[in-house]
Amino acid sequence: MTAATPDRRPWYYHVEEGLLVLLVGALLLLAFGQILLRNFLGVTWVWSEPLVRHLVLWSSFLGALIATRDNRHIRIDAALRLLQPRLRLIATAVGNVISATVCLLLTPLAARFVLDEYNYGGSAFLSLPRWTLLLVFPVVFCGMGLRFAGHGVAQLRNAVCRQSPGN
Amino acid sequence: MAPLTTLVGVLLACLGTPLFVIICVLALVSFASDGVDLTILFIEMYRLADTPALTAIPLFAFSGFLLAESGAARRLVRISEALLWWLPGGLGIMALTICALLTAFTGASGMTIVAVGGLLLPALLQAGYPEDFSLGLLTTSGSLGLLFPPSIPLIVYGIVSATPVDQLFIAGIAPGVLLVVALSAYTYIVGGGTSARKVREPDNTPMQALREGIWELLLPAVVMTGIYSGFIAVSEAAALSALYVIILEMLVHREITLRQLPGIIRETMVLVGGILMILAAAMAYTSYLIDAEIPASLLELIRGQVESRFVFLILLNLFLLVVGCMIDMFSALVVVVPLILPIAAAYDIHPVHLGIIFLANLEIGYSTPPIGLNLFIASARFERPLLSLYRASLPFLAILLACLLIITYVPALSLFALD
Repeated sequence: MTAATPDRRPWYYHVEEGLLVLLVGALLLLAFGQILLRNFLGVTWVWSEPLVRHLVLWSSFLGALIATRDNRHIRIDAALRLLQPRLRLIATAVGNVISATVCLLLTPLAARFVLDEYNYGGSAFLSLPRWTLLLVFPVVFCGMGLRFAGHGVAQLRNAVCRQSPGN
Repeated sequence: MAPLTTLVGVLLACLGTPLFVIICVLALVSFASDGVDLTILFIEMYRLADTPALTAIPLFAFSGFLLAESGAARRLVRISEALLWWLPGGLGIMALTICALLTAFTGASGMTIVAVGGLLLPALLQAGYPEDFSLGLLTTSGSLGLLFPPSIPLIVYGIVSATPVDQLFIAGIAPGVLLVVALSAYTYIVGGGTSARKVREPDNTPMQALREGIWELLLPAVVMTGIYSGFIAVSEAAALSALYVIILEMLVHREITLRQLPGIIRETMVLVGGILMILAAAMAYTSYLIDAEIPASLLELIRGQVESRFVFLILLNLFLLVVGCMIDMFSALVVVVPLILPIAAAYDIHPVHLGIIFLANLEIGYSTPPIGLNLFIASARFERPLLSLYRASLPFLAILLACLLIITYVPALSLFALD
């Protein structure tokens, strides 16, 4: 039915994963470096600990965005297994549409959180303005919302089109 | 209001909605009904960035994924075979131990069954162990080891309950050993009574096997000495273990290439991202629950019904076993711990002991029919019907439940090594 799927994935898949590797690489280097510096040279950078934690936050949220893309969030699918394939598809689609709604409802809230910080907030480590550290919230929630919506729509279309021809 | 939102949550869960979305919905509805400015959700989520133990989660998970991807399991199997081949049930016991060690690093992600199951099931069957026994052993072993450091669920419990993670790491060892020893005793009996042959490849000498695998065998010791000696914090131990595993698998054994690294990082962060989303959402929901004094009123309610500590612990175990087989470990921890913590304190249960009880229950719940997660993973991995796995895991569950009673009613088992 469908043509042979091209084995090249969209460009933004590579951007996401490249960024993830960069963040985790930086996290690893900084985490090792911190120990070496402290134990062997007796030097402590005050900014390194909060930076490490933010790297964890950002890379995990990016991981969550990729988990949404690949449909791999932690969920309970025991009840779904009891349904027939077509019903299961519809139920999953409804679940995805609801998830999309929730994430897209949360996005403007996240944006306001950043904006409040932009207007009234101070600066964090390395005199970075704190609002820049928070941008990950609206970006990731918006991205997850769009992805859940994409999954939901595709599954609904699948469920409608998949009329068994014999019956 | 509360029963209604819970009902909505259960309904959403049945539709396969990701658990972090459900927790977000609960938090949104609760805060909105109180008329609170909803940006509070993100203010609470951002508190994660102030959590010192947070860094340990991705670093330990990364070590676990690297180990699972390398030939570490194969080397450990060879060591145990070379050393334990003469013991009745030796192969089964080593299967248990290896699963426990690996699960401590990979968490309850089903990685153990997926990574090692394919190696160990044929080995067990070939050595003459009954099929039901072998399947049950590997299924229940999929979450065995969660009480051992550096288990990620233990770290999450520490974060949620504000209990020092290093204390939890110490407290988990004796109860974890109890579970492994009890199952090993059963394996010894079965292994001695059946046609299970004692096998060893002729070229697999103890010296040779040890030379290949000694560095992986030393990893838990290296990590734990660091923490227990008090020289380094848990997050630093996590960084060191990641460095150790990178050097070992990429430079010494050369089994992981630089090209594989992005894939391993992606797999790690998909898992960690899933966990952290749940944790973030739970930060918001928990702060509502505490503001609304839900734990306090729950305590009133339970205190009116349950007088003795003994009965409370039984009820707690039953409740947690059900929770453990219904929802995943991380959601269970982040939602239930804040509710139970003050109640348990009122019954004079030490927060560290409570953590061990929690983890032991959730660990067992994972293999409990009808919907324990391990059963599904094993069913898919070993291509066996779910019902045969129910039957296979029952004797193992009975033993684990007996151990659970000991862990629950002998707090000293968890607490003796503290201070």
